[in-house]
Amino acid sequence: MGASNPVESGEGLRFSQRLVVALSGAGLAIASFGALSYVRVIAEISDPAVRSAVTSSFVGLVLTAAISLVLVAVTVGSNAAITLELLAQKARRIENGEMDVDLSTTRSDEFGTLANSLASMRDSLEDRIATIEENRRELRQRNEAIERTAEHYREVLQAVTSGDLSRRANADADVDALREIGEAINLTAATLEEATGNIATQMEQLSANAEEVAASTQELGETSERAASVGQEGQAAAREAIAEMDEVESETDAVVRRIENLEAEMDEINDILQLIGRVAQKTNILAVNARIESSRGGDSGEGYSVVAEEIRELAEETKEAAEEVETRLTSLREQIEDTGVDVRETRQRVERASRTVEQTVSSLDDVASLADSVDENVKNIGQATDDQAQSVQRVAEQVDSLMEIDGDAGPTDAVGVDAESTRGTDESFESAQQDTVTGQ
Amino acid sequence: MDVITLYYLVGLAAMVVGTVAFARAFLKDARNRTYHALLVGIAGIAGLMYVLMALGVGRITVDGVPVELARYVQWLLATPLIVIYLGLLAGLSRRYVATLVVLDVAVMASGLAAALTTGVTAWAFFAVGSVVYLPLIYGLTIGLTDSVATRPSPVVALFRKLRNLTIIIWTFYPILWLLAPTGVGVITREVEILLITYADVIAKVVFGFIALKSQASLARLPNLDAVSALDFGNADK
Repeated sequence: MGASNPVESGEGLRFSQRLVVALSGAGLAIASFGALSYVRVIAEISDPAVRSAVTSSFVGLVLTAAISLVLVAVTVGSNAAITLELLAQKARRIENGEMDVDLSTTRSDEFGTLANSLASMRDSLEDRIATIEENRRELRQRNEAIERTAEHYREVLQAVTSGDLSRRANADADVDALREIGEAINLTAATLEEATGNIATQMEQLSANAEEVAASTQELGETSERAASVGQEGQAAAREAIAEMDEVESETDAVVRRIENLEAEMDEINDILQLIGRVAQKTNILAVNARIESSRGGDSGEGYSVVAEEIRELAEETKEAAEEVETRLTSLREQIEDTGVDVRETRQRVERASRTVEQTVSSLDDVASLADSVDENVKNIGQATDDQAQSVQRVAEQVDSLMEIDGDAGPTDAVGVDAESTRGTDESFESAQQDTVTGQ
Repeated sequence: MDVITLYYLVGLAAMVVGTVAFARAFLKDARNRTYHALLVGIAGIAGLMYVLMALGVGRITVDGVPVELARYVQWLLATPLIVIYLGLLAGLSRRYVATLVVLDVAVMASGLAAALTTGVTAWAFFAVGSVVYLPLIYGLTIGLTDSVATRPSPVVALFRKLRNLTIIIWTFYPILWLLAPTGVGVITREVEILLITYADVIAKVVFGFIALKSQASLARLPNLDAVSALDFGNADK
């Protein structure tokens, strides 16, 4: 069995070898002492019978000692050597992880103690290994639980992600961190659900707003259309007014020309009157002269003097008449001049009015272009409202997809309908805009 | 009653004590009954032969030297049992054990022949016995198969202990035979009988008690029971 020992314990002899050496030494000592005793004592005995008997007993004693030595060596020494070797083998087996090594012993000596110590060491080791394995198993179970919980969370998150916002995680994990995650997931889902609800409400509101905007823009379109037509009417009326004013202006010009003609003729009449005045004066002078002449010519001259008197009086009357005509002519002239002034003022007023009307026309033009730009803006607003409606529609669709698994898809659908109605309104509004544009 | 008879009675007493103890173990421990039966056989045969020797039965005289035939019968019958016991313990194959038994019987027979003959013939038989004894020692030590290593360590320990004891004690017998009147006659027959009795008690009773002491270890061997133990190792040998 010694040959099967895989580990030689370093230098020197092994226990069994030492035992053999010691026993050999002891045997040698006994044999040497026996030989010495035989030579020194027994061989000296002279009586052969006594010598033979003593020799026999002596050799027997030596053999008994040798046999006893063997007995001691085998029962104690060999036993110890073998036991030590076996214990060493068992210790090596324990070292190699063979925990089922049998270390039980009935011995109460040091080897028993050693075996028991080894056994308790093995048990302690086994306990520790068992504890470690228990810990590892617990860890594995815990890991599995964590994996299961994580899988559950993943499913919940997936469900929530695909729209089932009413889904909640089972946040009763043993691990605090996991439980916190579960609670966080639930909180997130709840917040998301609430937010989605809010979004739905907001969408509704937005939809209503869009509808209002659509209505307002339609109204605005109609108003701008009316404004455009009113402007057109005003333009037409203003153009008529301008035409009539042009006529009034030309007629006034005619009146002014006639007045000027009249003034010229009156000047000529004045010249004639002055001529008449000069004629009457000369006639008067002539009459005076004639009377003087008649007074000198006596009776014959008397008749003549009467004619001369008559002529003088006629000349006086003519002069007076001429002066009266002149006076009246002057008054007439003044009146005509006044009329001319009035007419000129009228003409100026008409011109001003004409300009005003022209300004009105340009203002009306501005109104028309403003109405155009209002139309354009309204169109843009319509476009913007349309875009907004499409955005709302998209958001509504997303919210809809978020809530479709939920089953509580009411608000989302409502938003969708609203968006659709908003679109419809926009389209009708756009057609109204088209009408406005073509009507212009 | 001469002193030799007294020696035989002392040996008989030891054999009886051993036989009783081994018989008790045989009755109590059913599991290792085969082993206990062998021990009972070893000590019982020895005891029986000591009775015969004490009674002077089978005592013949060859060339003036008294020869106890009962002793040689005891050796012829009991030593094979010891070899079988060791073979069972080591888990040796039946064939191997049989070989060892044959060698053992040859050694004992040679001893008997040497005792019964005289002169050169006696020495020739002694030489044959001594030579045959060598392969027996070899078979019980270096020649052991690996099957011994597969045995539980308490069994291996017991085997090695008993094997060592047996071989060393047995080695004294030819020495005693040599020194005794059968040989050179340095020691008297009286001393020879005393020493042989001493060796017999060690090789059989002490052997048995050491085995019994390890019974606790043997008790833990399920495959080491009775017939199954005899079959152990045969399947692949």
